[in-house]
Amino acid sequence: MAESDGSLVLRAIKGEEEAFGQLYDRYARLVRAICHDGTRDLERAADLAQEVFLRAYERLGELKEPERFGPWVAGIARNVARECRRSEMRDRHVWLGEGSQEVAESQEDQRWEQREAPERLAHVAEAMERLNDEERLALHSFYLQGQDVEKARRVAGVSRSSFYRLLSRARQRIEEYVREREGR
Amino acid sequence: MTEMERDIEAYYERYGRDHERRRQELLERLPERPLAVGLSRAGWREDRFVLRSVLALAAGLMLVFGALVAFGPGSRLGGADEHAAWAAAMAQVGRVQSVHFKITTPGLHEGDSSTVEMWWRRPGEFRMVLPNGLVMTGNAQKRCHYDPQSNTLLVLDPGPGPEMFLLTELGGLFTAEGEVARRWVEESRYLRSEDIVYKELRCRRVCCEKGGRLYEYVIDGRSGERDGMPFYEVKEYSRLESGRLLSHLEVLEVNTDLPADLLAIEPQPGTKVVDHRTSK
Repeated sequence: MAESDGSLVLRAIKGEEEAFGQLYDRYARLVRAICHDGTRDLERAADLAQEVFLRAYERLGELKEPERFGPWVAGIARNVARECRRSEMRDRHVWLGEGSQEVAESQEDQRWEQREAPERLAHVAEAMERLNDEERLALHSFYLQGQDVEKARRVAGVSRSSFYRLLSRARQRIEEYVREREGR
Repeated sequence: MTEMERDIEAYYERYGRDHERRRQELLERLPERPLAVGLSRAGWREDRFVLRSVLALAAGLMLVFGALVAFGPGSRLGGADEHAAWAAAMAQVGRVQSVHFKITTPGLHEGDSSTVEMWWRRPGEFRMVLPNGLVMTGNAQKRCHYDPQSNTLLVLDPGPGPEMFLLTELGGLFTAEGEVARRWVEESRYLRSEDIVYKELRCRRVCCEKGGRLYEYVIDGRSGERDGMPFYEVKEYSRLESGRLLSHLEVLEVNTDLPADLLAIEPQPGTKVVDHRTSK
């Protein structure tokens, strides 16, 4: 049986790095996805995720309920993603009027889905961007945690019924968008 | 798995790239231990954690003790017989030809609950009514999503079945093959049962544990025989969250004739139809 998050947190607090490594294995993908929402750049999101885990490690002792590590680290990631979005908006404001078109194009070039992914997957990625934050978080937490509704809804911080509603709406919106793009 | 499901899963693969390298990188960057402020509190937290574990263990032992008293040698109730009766009722799940049920998932706050109603006929025709009013139907020819708010009917290619994540594991039992129900019984641990009156019927409430959750099934002596009704209702509780109710499934009918127009949606005058089928 897999060791609980709470037990791993307590071992990590004692300085067992490997225990923190296991928490990283469980939540790094989710944290990268949340950071990606803030940056729209995969490499940058992966770097930010490392920062999130460093912050989490430093603050482990502040975690009131060790078994709630997942929702807690997701909360840190959301804050980091928000900070990143705010700073990017500031930067964009500075760049306006000074070759802003080039800046936008260069950011566009960095998008993984446009460089490597098949067209259909690119449409899914575009659809993801059109979802609101809550819908996206519901999808992230569901698909990046073994499609376990209970775990996912805790990370999303909503009731089970609200979670079902969000998930259903998000999937429907993606499906409709992809079909629209494919001209079906 | 639908095509969209595969696409979404493929989309999420990107977040696993370079995982091992980044993991190594992170572990090398970690300070020797989390901050001292954390450490000073950690001991107390650990004590609290240990205390909680001891309490949980004590509760578990009481549960086992209770079960032994109720069903052990010399007890009035025959635990093995009760278990066998429940297992027989469950075996019916994989054999029903049609079913009409409701699944309610309570929210964290009072009044914040949602219900999905489902009609299903073997091998794969269904109608689902979602909490937001959306109606979904599916059969071998097409899949329909009707949104009453916008009076729009979306017609899609047939998919493999209903939205399983909305049905929870319990609802999924009916739409899966009998093998799933058999595994369900194997993975469940029988705890206890008691006499109850359910909708003016003398029934038994059978309590089992499976995967860290408690399940209360309402069956009667003839559940497994009469019209193939496996059970009347099941309540699923979390053992981790002080026994919070997670879902409530009520079986309303089994093996009845479900009319064809229930399992497909025909547009009414004024309904906006969006047909996304590849072959119309």
